Amino acid sequence: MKQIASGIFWSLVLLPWISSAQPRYDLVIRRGHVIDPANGRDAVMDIATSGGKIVRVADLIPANEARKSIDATGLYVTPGLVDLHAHVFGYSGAILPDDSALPAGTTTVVDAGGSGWRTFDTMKSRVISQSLTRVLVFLNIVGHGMVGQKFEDDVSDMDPAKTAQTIMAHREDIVGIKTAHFGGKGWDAIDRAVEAGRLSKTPVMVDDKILTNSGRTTREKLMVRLRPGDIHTHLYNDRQLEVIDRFTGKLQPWMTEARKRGVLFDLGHGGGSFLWPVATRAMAQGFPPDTISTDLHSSSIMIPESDMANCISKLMNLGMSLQDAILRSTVNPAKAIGRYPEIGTLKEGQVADIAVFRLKSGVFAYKDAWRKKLLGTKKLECVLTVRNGRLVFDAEGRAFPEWTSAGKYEVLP
Amino acid sequence: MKVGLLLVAAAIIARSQPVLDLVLMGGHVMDPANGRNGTFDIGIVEGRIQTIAAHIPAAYARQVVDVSGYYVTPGLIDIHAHLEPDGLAADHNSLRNGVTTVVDAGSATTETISDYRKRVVQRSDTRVLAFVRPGADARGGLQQNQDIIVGFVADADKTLPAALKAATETKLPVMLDTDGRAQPDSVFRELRAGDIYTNIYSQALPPSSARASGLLFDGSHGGAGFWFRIAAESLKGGFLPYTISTGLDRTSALLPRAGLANVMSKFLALGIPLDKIIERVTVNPARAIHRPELGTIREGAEADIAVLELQKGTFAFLDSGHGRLTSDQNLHCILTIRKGEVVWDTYGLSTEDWKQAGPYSNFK
Repeated sequence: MKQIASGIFWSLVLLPWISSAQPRYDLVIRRGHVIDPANGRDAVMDIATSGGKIVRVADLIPANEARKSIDATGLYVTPGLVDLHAHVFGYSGAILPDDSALPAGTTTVVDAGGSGWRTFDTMKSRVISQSLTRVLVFLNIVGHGMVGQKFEDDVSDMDPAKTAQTIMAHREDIVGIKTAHFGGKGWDAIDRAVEAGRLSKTPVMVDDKILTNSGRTTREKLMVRLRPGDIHTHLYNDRQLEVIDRFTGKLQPWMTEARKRGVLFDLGHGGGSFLWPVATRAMAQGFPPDTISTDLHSSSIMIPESDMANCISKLMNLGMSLQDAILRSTVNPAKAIGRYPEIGTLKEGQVADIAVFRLKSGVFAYKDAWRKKLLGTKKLECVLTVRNGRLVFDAEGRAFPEWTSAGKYEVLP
Repeated sequence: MKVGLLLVAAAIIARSQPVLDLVLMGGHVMDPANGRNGTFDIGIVEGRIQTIAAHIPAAYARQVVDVSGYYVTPGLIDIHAHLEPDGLAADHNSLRNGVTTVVDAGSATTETISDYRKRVVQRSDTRVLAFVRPGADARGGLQQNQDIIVGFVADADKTLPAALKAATETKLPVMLDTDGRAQPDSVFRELRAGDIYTNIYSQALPPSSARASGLLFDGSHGGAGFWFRIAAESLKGGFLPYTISTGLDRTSALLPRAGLANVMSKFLALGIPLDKIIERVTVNPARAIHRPELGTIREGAEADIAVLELQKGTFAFLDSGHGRLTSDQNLHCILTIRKGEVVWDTYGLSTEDWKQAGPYSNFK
């Protein structure tokens, strides 16, 4: 009797040791300052993942409960960023996303009109299914996609029905419609894009040339032609959308009206679409972008260096808080494309797309479209990225042991 | 050097305005091709190096970029990368690392090289050259593409004979790129002096008999090519590769993110001095691909220049197996000039403060 009791007693004592011998999580990121606006989190917390999903976010998760533990002390941990405006197909400057987006903490990119209904299948096989980054799509209203002025001016290839059909057949990939670079007169391009949006119940993103004789005005576009939920991009550009009166320096009144109406404003930084004279005045007068995005392409990541972390850094140096910037880089873009809360949050049960950042202090040069610099005092740098529960970027080797203590290894997990 | 400066001065007196487009001032120039290792100013005109001098007066230049405290080298040459059409892009992986010439290994054949030129070479600001896989007609394929084909590549002992045949016909070198797969020793007898054997840190070292043969060894990285335990032992033993390269592929563009600056930093962390590293990414690869006009800062040469910062602090590097090496130094590229144009400038050294610029773009 005593032996059975003793046996039960010792089993109970040893039970935690026995159960902890099998780590129940794949990965735990510990002691980082979690910023997760969707769930109201802004504090030091631990995050555990399993099977590609976030399974626990708590004050303290012991390291030995996971196969791999990453120390994020002194760093910020956020949902993987969602870049609402990138070019990974079709456009002449398009580049594959993985080696530009993931090292900047961006786990989802939305291609902004590179493909149209004629070329979406090619995009799917060549880019979407071959990328670690999640690639979603704004389908161009132009059937051939963003392949040159001749095509982008051709109203006869702007077919709302065919565009909507393709969207409805691929709702897992296509989240809306893009119209861009239309050099002709009148509203055909925008109207047809909006019609496709109505048919497919998706938003439209617009990149529009307001040329002198185009017969279009910014005011009419924002107040009449676009619907609430439609997105105007390249916000701090001064060629295409008049944000700031170029003589008085004041925010144009229709901007605030359009925002009240529900039109969304996307940064779309790019190589040519971010100017300090515009950005500083707009931010000072209380007009930040709803969504922060990069307009990723081959030249935007060179001198302008407009990856998501740098775009966030620029806005922080104009007074935006880190928390607000993360909101506009995760929750807001996810909502804009109807993918919230599946992406853009660190909620238990959602996909484990996680970014870890270091916030640096110092002097940093930020360049605009004209290569003019602003010297900032803060810089956000991505040090680690998890995509679908898998570690894909680790700039500081936080997830791995010193080679001298690892024996003769093949690829360490 | 002094004559060049006198001519520049004379030109200024004659024209009374700056003659040089750009002067890089005060950098520590490391240019092993010309035996330079010290502080020099470099003057650039119309995309070419005009003068290298101990001191160029600022008044001679339209734009002066102060690079004191940094190393200034010829634009780096990455002799081994994988840049397929619709695959990894050349520019941000190369120019952001100070690489102004990158050599693809095997994405094209002698038959597909014209297509490769259209889809990759002409779409890149980086100079893209190629080791090609031999097709049916090596000499024919070479005819229109001598400017970009630098040799032939084989991926194993089985494909080596065809590459050697093509190379012998065209008097070009062969690169053997086995992506880390072990090869029989017979390959070392077949490869000739001046041929290139890459990925030496992926498996056991090549036999010592091979090392004295005139064969050129390339210390590369790539997804499966670089292991600290192999590299450390090899370097400690005093065997230095002839060239250092990235072997860039989709794995090594991400984890570890092994651009050329990262690869060079690993050699630094393993104890190789900086000047020996720079040799292996400038003059040596230029010689290996028979392009002596590259990898050099010489009057008249195309102005391809890299500015590198040697940072001090705590840095961690990962190898192909994700083992970590911690070091107190990191080399990274802060500015790149390609054909005389600044194409990468992360510290904004060549840019103007926006508030000092007055109204620009459409602002009044």
